[in-house]
Amino acid sequence: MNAMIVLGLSYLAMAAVALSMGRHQGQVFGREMAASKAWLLRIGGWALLAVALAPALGAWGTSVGIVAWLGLLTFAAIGAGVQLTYAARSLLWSGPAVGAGAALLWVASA
Amino acid sequence: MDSTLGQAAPAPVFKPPVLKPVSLARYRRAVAARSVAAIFGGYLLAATFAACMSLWLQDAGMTRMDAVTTATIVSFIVHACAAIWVFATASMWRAWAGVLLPAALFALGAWIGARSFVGAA
Amino acid sequence: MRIDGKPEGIRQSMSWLHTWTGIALGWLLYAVFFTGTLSYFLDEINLWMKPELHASVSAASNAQTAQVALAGMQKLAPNANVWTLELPNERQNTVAASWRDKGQPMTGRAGVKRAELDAATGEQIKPRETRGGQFLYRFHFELHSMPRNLARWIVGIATMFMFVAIISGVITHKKIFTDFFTFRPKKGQRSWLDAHNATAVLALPFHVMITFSGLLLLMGTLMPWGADVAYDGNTQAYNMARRGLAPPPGAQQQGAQREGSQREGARGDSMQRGGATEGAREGRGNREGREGRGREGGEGRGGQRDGAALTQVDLSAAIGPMLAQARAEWPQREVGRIVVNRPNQPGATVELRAHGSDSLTTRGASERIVFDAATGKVEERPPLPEPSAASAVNNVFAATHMGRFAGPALRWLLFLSGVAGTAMIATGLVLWVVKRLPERRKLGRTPFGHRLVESTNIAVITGLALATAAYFWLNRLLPADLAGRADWEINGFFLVWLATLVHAAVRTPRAAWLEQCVAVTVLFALLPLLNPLTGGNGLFASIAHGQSGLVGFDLAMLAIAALFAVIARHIVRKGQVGAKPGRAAAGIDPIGKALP
Repeated sequence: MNAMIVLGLSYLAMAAVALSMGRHQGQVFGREMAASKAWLLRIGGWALLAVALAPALGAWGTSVGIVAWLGLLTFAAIGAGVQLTYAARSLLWSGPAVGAGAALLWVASA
Repeated sequence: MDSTLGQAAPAPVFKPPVLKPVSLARYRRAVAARSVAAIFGGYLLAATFAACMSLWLQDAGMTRMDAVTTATIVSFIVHACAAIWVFATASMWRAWAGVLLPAALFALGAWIGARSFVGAA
Repeated sequence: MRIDGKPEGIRQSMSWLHTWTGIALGWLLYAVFFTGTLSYFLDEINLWMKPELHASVSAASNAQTAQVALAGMQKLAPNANVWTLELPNERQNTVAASWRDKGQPMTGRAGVKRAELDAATGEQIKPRETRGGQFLYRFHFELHSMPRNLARWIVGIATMFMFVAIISGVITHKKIFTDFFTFRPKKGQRSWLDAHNATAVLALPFHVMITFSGLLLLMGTLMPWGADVAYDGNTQAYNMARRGLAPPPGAQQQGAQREGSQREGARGDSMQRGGATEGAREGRGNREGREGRGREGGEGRGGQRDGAALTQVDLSAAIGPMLAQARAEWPQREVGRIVVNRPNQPGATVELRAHGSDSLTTRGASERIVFDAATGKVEERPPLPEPSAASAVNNVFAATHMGRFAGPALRWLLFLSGVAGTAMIATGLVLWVVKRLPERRKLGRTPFGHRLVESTNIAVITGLALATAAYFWLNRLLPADLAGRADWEINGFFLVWLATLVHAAVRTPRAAWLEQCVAVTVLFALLPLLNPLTGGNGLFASIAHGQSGLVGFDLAMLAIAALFAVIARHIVRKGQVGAKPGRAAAGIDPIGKALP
């Protein structure tokens, strides 16, 4: 379950980072975003990636937590990447939905 | 333009036969020489590094076991960096010098270290 | 490097280096990755390949299993100096017992006897002779039928090539962030490059970790010079110190930790747990003391009959309260292992070891409690080792590589990352061929080197999977009582692998890819059917009994079959790669597929 929390948060983070790039904005919105908004998305995405480390550390301790976090990041990225390739627009709602679900789980389990 | 694997992307064995043979032979010799430098020279550098630092790290306060562990772990990185250096640097001389000179220094350091604190715990 | 010798930028030189370090040992690296990835499920493969063990179903509680197992050991090995019992867990459903008889050496691999005990009755089960998953695991770093050191050197060199390939790959990948989420299917060479980049970059932390830790795990073989110089030639002393053991005169002490483990220990390089420093020798000293007592246990045997009978009854009965104590002290963990020192002798002790551990810095060392067997009182709780920073770094790398600590979720993460790595190598190998298609068209023919690489790619990428399938099939088809069947399973593996090379050499590339993919699909898909037909617990039985290891194995076989089916379908649909849409490729017909 903790894995789901980390995975979900990372997935939203990866979606945010992806959407901060022009190429993927084109895929999802059909046009590019304003630079300031894109920058916000990028910072937010990276920050959320770091935040996702916290439930991992809490659940598994330091060494296992870091390893698990890195591993889960990989699969969050793969998920976002596959979605962008085959169903880009769905990322707009799936990202926040999964992220919110993970956040809820985290709050509930704390 | 699309390929992110470098712009020149040479594949010399398969270019149409317009080359003068001497270029091909020289290229192959160069590849061989740099490979030797990277593989064997790099290993020599890593080994002398490990030997030297296993002794000198003790002098710096580490226990003997920790000094060996640290020196050995880092030596693998040293070898990899040496290989990168050999192929990234412009000339053959720099490639060999960048590997052999530090190796000589570390060898000297290991020799000095062994005489100063052999069997240090 | 340029053929005209002109200087070039770093991205170009690193591109060259990446290509050649990749292709030079790419096939070997694929095999190492493939078998390594499978080895994350070593226990499950071992179990599946010994169908005689499937019938063992764990009793409701550890206590019952422990009781019957101890009773079973009393029948099996009453004269042993030490019993070690690995209790069933989510990955194994039998009790893995091992012991050392009196008079046998107390250390090293000689003198250890092993048996599998049924979890419900404690009776010994004799499974068919097979090397099981151990063959694949050992192949991963020691290949096969060659001197160990030579194999380790070869694998070690390949690992360093891989490490340099990773570094040069990262340096040359100019748009590593921009292209992070980019995958463009159905675009020929572009798609292959995207797939190679994706599998490489997305799992980059894993690839760096697995490669560097692979080097560290082989450091005793590859880079002994630090230890050699610092310990005056006695590298063994360094290995001992690293494991937190005092070097005894002569014999290499592997300690009670190794017994009962299904995995064979590695000589020299430390593959076992316990990277404690010399400072934490107190705990070790105690254990050595106990083993020392065990060593002397041969004396004073006379007139112990009554005492022996008493102790035996006590063990089976006494284990209950001991397990309860352990459960109270370790609420999060089960008891994983029971070690009985000097059973049936005065001064017998029972050590309970927790299953799993919290930290990688100790390489997964677990909590332990030692009880006096006669009184049931706690004698000591050996402290967990506190490794130094250097040892901790080494331990974290080693533990993450081997993943022995990993629970099911983390194990699947490691496994899937390994699949990504295997795919990274496969796509790289194919990319090498695909990139040179334009040259081939210009030339009007296929140079021998190209053909060699193309055929060997097939024999390695699909051929190895086919050989593995054959290995599993032979495990069930060869009669259980056939002499030397373990060797024949392995021979079959290599014979099939060789056959795939011949097949790839004589067929056109497209036909070879397609036929081998189909063969892999069929063989893997039928394995879950073959399983119950040849004495194993089929999916329904294993689900019913909660034998997750067997369930996972069967499902994984279906997943592999599905993967290769998808690949085969793409080959049938597409046919060419590297050609722009609409352009025919003259007589060259390699695979065309897009990987997610």
